[in-house]
Amino acid sequence: MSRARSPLFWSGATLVGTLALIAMLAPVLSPYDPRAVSGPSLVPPSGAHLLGTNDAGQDILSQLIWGARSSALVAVLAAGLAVAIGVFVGVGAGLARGWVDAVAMRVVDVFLAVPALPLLILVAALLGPSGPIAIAVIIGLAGWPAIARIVRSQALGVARRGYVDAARGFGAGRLYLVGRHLVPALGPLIAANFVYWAGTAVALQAGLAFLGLSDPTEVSWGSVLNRALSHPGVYFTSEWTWWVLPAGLAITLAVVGLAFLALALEPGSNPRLRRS
Amino acid sequence: MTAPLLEVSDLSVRFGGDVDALRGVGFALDREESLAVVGESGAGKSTLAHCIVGLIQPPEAAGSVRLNGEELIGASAATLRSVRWRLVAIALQGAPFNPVVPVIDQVAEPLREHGGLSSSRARRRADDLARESLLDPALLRRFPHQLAGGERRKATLAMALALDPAVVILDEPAAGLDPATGRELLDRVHELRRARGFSLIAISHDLPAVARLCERTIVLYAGEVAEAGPTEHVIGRPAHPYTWALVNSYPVTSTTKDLRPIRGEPPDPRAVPSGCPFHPRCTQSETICRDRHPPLERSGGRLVACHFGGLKVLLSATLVHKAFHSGSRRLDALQAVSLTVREGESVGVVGPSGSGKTTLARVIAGDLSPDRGEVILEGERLARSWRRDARALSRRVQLVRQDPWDALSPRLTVAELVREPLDIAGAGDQQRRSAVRARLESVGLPGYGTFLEARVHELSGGQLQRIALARAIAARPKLLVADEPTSMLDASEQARLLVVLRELQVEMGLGLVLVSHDLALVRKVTDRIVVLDAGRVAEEGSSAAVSGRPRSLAARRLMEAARAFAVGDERGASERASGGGTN
Amino acid sequence: MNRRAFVRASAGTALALYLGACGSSTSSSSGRPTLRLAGGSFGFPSPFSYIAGPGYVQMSYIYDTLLWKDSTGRMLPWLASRFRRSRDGLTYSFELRPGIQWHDGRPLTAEDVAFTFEYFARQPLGPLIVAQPFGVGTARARGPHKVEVELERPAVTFLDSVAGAVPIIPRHIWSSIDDAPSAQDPGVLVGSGPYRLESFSAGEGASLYTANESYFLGTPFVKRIELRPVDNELTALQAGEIDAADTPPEGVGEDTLASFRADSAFGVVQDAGSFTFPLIWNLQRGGALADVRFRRACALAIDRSAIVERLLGGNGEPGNPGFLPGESPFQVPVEQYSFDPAAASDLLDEAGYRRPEASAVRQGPEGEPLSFSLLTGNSPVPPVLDLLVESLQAVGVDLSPQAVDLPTLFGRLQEGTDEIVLSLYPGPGGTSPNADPDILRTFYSSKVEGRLQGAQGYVNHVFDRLAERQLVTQNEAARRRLTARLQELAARDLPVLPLYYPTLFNVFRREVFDRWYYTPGGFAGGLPGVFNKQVFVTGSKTGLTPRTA
Ligand code: SF4
Repeated sequence: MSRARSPLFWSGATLVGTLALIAMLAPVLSPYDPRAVSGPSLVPPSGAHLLGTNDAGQDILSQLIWGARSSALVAVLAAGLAVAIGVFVGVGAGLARGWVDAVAMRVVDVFLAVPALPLLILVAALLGPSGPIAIAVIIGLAGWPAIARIVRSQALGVARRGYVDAARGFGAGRLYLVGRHLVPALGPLIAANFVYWAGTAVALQAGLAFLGLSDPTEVSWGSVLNRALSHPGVYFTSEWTWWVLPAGLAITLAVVGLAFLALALEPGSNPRLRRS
Repeated sequence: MTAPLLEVSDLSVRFGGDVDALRGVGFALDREESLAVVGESGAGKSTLAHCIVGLIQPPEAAGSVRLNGEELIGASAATLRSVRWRLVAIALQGAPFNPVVPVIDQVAEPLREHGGLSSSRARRRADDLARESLLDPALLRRFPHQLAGGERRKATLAMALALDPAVVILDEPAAGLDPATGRELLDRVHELRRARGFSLIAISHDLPAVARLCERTIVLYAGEVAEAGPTEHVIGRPAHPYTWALVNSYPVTSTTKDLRPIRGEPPDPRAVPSGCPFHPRCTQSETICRDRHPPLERSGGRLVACHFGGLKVLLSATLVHKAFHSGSRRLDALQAVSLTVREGESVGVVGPSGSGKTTLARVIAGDLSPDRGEVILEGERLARSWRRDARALSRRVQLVRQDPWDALSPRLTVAELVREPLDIAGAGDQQRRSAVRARLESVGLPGYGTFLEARVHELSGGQLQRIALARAIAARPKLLVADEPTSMLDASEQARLLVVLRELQVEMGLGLVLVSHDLALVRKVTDRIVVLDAGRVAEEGSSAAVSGRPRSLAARRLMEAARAFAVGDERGASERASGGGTN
Repeated sequence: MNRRAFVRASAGTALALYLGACGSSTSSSSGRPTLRLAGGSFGFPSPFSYIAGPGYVQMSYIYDTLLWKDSTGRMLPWLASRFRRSRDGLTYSFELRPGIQWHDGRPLTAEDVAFTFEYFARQPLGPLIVAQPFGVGTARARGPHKVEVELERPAVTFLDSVAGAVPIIPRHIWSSIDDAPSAQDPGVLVGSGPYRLESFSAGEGASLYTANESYFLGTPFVKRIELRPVDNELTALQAGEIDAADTPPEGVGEDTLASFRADSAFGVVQDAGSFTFPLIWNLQRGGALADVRFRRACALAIDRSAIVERLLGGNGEPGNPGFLPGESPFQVPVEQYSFDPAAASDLLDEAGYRRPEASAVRQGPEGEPLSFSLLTGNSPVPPVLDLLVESLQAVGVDLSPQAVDLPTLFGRLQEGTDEIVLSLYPGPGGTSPNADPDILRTFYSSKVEGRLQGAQGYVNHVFDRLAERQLVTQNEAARRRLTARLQELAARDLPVLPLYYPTLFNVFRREVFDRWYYTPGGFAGGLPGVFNKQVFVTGSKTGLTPRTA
């Protein structure tokens, strides 16, 4: 399906693509083991350490590069989980209608009524520090209800379309309908939600790590920030320019890039697809 | 109760030891009764006639033919001589005249030889007979080759009537005559029969001709009786698939529908198929048809030799109610609507906008569940469910929706669209590809090349309608419900689609329900028409009856609109065009 | 609320237990300044509902004690003009100053003092109320200005942690109150102290204290103490929002202090050894954790001097296996387990913890890997964590850190089921509440129950017995001998390894107030930090007499 690509799309795609590439090539790109003490503490940027070192003498650039990987992992896992559950519940409810639909939507309402971020922090605090997978699971579990709701309403509309009835007339089963008609029809919506939740996941992961609620030895952008901001020196020296700023910038670029993509993929923004 | 005048039972004829001309034929004929024997050439009609006049004897013939209590099969030459002309006379199709003797002498011959009349009295009598048979007596003086075919036919009739026999057999009475003459002759036979009180057996493949003449009809197929009973039943509402096909293949004014030939070839009498002899050509045959010979049994006011009692009922919707609710308002879309579609039958559903046509279409296609009443498809209740058997059943009925933009997914290519039913049914890859091509071409679209990759938004409404029809057919349904399937097509495209549908009906015994507000179109395609008005059946009848003599107000209105178009005036045409997409 | 504030809130009140000071300062040029200090939510400042040390400090502005310390670390006569200890150490009698009035003008009498001890004993108070008369049997008024206090058993810590810590409360206010912790009406805050609470906003952590003009020592030197909520004390100080700031207890490097040191407007005072990061092995978990060779090898593998250099640029002291820091007059030399990774590896090999291959995790005799979970706090995560993990990894010991908030951390320490713990401990030297060598008993002895932090699963009956004896020994030299023995045992058995003692600093604006000091051994039973009200009242580092402008 060809689609007019907006500048928004391209800038988002470029940002996200670059970061994804960095995440993928982290072992190659990273000059040092991000956890290893690879130099003196707090050396400013130099040839040996392009972004200097932190208070423990770890290379900050390497930490940011590996942080991209951690963020990408969380983003993909969390969004994948949220979308998988959301689409499953939403499409299932939309297709089943009746009491299944009613029960599913009641559950969704309950989940939606709970504010996600405080819940996340609470869960993270109760469960103790969590690695990227645990965070992804938590975010995924927080994200699905919103997806389920919007997917369901769209699925209801699609399920009423003649071509779905026609396929049923050909003897199609549920799996076929979902795979052939519903999911492709919801494709743009699903893609936009995936990207949106990927962005949310990156921000939330960074936030949790920043609050010190994630695995303390996990290398992530949030934990770099956390460590930087709990080092008193960053407030009084130029350390912030090569320690805080690049980490913040990485988070910002990832979140903004994903937000751009999500906006560009939003079905409503593309007139071509409105008819379907 | 006295024995009937003519009683044929278990009559079989085999020529040359391997050609089965007749097999176990039986029927009875009483005084002043008339019987039509119909069938394709080679069905054994003439053989039967010959047996009745004792022209075929053992060893070829077996069984019994009793005339006035006298057995003719195996009778002596003297017996036969005493019976022929006096009790039973036959007017054979191939003129039996001696070319070198004037016709009058030949007509008078039975009078002289069997009636004992003098030569001159016999000639005078022959003149009278000629006049009675609407033949100018002067023509009798000529030699056979000097007469036209019709005149010779009349002469044969005169000869058969010569000795005032109790049973007259006419072999193809109107064959070779121009319609007016044929009609005149048949009328004459009718009058004579009333006047003289003879019993008549009319043998013909010309159904309409004999249907006018005879009260009863038997249909022969491959030397057997396929169907027998009162003519209005047998011809008017055929039960046997063969009779149905035969009736549909005749051009007559009593149906408005276009012709549909019978599929396949007539059977080779040397190798009559096992089981039901019609099964290779029958659209509804099953395994049993091949294995077992169907007995001739009573079914619907006639005798039918079919395991299923004749044409199957594909669909029966009984007392269907359907209401829609929007807010507090309730709209009764269908109220106590019943509809039956038989094998190979076309039923038109017409009505003005809002009459419930589309709702009915969706209900009988299983797309909507009725509030009350039930829909039975091929003996099973049609219900929308995810169960495997219900899904398999729903494949048997296909709905072609009115709005092709809604009915065709915008994300699939033409090839994918047409292939979808096969994908779902799990057909082989090769099969899918060839089916896509065949189906597209059958509706007049290219079955190859870039067209296959096109998507909905690149195509016209007419193309989409044809694709929708093609894919519905690709599902190989038994019943096709088409809701205004040609509303976006021009006249020639429309004609082409109708031909395709007709072929499918011949080919697969497809039942067709055609939903439209366009009566002119519907009457061309359907056997019966159901007129809906405000969710109720306003009128139902044969297409000819409904379109020719509409009784309900709704039907009359529709007919007026259609007639206006039929004479081709501008107003009517534009009206129809603008009304095309709405319903 | 920024990260830090948030973490504090989520960590809850327990955090306050050892985040000692929260700031102070002064203003005005006349020498009768207003001090602006960092505030915080530390509860309603009544003697029964403040929260931990920082809460106590605010409460101490309103309420006085019998005795109080100045910068010399000596006990000054405060409400009591003198006291006497009986020969057996079981009875103390206090003589009250005459003419002291409560804020409402009523006289403060011996009845009030006796009532205070008796009333405290009646109230169920949690560990956050840091000043309680533990070990006191009875208190009786022996005349209008004389009180006699009897102890259940002799305790060398009585003067510090009871007489110099428990706030005296007015009988006429509290006798009618049954449930003291829930009495939180400003009207009950009638004390005899140098300040009254002028305004208080619990949620924001802002409050204002103003001088009690009719204070028995004279009008206090500092007229107003303004507590305001800040995120980061040092930046707030630099921005001029407050007048004095504590550095965080994790310690700071010179990069942080340099700009203040270079600026003559600021002064810096420092206090060594009041916090430490002890690495605690849970001996109860058995296996390698119960094997002293394993623990010694861990100690050998960690370069404590390098850690201090790397993280704090030298602003701290490497951990001493005998627990007490260099400042403690009780410290004796013990085995140091100086950094020697080769020796660590040899020791582990010898003990049967072998490496299947180089750089793999070692395995015990049963093939169980030397992999342990490491519990630590998350506000913040100790900066040393990465270095610790890496050091042990180098000798084939694998740690999986888990950082939790403080309430969780303390809760799990009570359960005592975690394998290894790294925490921040307010002691054992300097001005901390735990500067007394009795800390060796309270931290290591298996007889001590309900402590927030301490050795895990360490049972040595000899140690326990010696520790009990030290507590009741009034003879200084004898006590020294006992505590030396305790340090040797702690270093030998090594259930705990202090990694380092970060130095604590207070930075202040000279112009506003410059008499800041750390009270030796802490004030009020060992509170750390510089906010000793003695200096606010007098304006000098010693004595009882208020300076005048
Ligand atoms: S259905 Fe069977 S039995 Fe009946 S006519 Fe067809 S083939 Fe013969």
